[in-house]
Amino acid sequence: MGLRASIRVRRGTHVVDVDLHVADGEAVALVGRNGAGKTTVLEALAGLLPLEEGSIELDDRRIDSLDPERRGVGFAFQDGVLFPRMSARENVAFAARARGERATPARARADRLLEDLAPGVDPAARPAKLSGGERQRIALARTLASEPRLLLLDEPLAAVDASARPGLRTLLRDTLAAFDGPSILVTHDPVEAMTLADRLVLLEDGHVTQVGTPAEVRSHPATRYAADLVGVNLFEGTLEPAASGTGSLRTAEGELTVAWPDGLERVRTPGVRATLAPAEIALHAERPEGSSRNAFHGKVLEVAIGGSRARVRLDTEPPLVAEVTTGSVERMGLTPGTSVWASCKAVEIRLMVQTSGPDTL
Amino acid sequence: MGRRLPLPVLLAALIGGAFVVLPVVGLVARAPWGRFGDVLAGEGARTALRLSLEVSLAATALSVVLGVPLAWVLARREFRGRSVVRALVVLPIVLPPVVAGVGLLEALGRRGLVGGWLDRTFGLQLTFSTAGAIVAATFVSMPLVVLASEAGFRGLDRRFEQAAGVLGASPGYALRRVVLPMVAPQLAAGAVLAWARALGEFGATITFAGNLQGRTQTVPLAVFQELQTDRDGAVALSLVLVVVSVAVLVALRERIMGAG
Repeated sequence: MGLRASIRVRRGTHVVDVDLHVADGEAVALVGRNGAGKTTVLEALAGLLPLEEGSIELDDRRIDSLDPERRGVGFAFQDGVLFPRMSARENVAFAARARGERATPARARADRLLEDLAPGVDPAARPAKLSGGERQRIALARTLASEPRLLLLDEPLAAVDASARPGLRTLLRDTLAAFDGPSILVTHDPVEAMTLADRLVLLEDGHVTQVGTPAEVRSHPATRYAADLVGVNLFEGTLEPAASGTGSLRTAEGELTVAWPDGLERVRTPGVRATLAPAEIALHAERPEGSSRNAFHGKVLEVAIGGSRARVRLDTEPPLVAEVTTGSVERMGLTPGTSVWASCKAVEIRLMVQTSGPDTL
Repeated sequence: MGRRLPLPVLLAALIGGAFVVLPVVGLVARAPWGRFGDVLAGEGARTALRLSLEVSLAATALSVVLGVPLAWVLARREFRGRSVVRALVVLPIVLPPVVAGVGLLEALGRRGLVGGWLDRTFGLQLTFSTAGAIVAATFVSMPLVVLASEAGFRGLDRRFEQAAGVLGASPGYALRRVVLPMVAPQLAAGAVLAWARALGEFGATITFAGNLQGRTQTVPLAVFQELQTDRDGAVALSLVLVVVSVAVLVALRERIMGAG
């Protein structure tokens, strides 16, 4: 069961050669730079690009010679690709109508899906009248309405305003968790990959360079790209209530103070993931004073300079990667071995918790 | 921007503009305004107007029914010799209409390549029949539909068809529900241009279908004949075609192309 694919396609002078195994219910993030071949893999799986060699098996059935409409694959395109001459409702009802279902029940089901996935969107509105985030929600609803056995999402957050991202990210997370077939998410955003996927598949120049859970990739990055990619700080541990609206996230490598997420019951919650952007970490020569509850002492392990910014790896508990200006690096004389303090605000640590548990659904 | 133009350029432009406008002014000046209604209500003019409407609309319908699928194949299927086919398809636009008429005679006339077979098998004769006038008008106007709709198809992001396919739509369903509605403005523009071309068709029609009142004598052919007998009638019918042409231009500009 699940997906077993061995894909070899040529695109111009590039060759994409990828083996993928995704179990039922598992979400895999296909991560790589622009041009690494991520979208090509999705197009091959969906039947939009013929295989040169290889095979695709979905639920123990060969699908690689089938036309796209017969594969049972759902593909949410990068910027939605909603049909502009149809309303949101007609877009979502399209798959059912294409199968010959009558208009009235198809539209009723579309309306119910829209209520769940895009509440507040007028089902009669044309895509041009909607925001990027709303369009992406409708594209997701349209894909799910085709009842696919394999779900493919191509950069689902790329065309969305920063303000609409958190909500959409939560929706994607819930959707992927509820989807019982295999799903593949293409992204070049490490935060997106680590928060949405169970497993990462790193793609460089058409080839897989690493496969593993976010934690595995973070602790043992196989390539320079992997190391750069996981430059984001990821924590996993048990969240415990602490003073006045805060919590304490206890990980195997250290402890952080975080803002207690809205809507989460104030009880001990295991298995919580959190991310911290390196740019949110400030470095100080002396112990910082003031409101930062998170202050860690440690030594510099590595300083990587790129342009006007530098990434500084620290052996603090937990280990951190900070991003500072090259000016700060010079001013503080940061080199491997320098003793520094790192601090960050509790609110900058982003917690990934499902606020809608199974009992509320 | 605000610089003065050299005098010779200005002069040539003025003459050029006058040259384009003058024939229309001539028609308006010499029109038999007093008995305009009588002329158009006359037996010959009425028959020609009705026939022209029928022939041009039938030719437009045929052009769309045959030309849009052809445009789709040219836009979306890759095959050897596609560029040659594309060139041949638009040939009637540049071909002298009388040559088109001779070609149609040799192909579809009673002794033509296919015409003889049509006659023997179905008893169908296109020459000297309204069907022949429709065929001649279709021949010259279909390329306009093909050109306009192929441009529309080629300008359409393929991902719309791909999205429809992945959602379970057959290529035919995707074409009908997704692609055609999206290129509808280009198709309509092509159809209007084709209709205008069919309405004005003269050379191929008179060569292939002949000039028979009530059967193949459309308005342009009637104008040609009236010119020798009743000049007022010719001018009045010509003005009708001028009005239609201006209406087509206005429609294309404001309704279909949306240009300001």
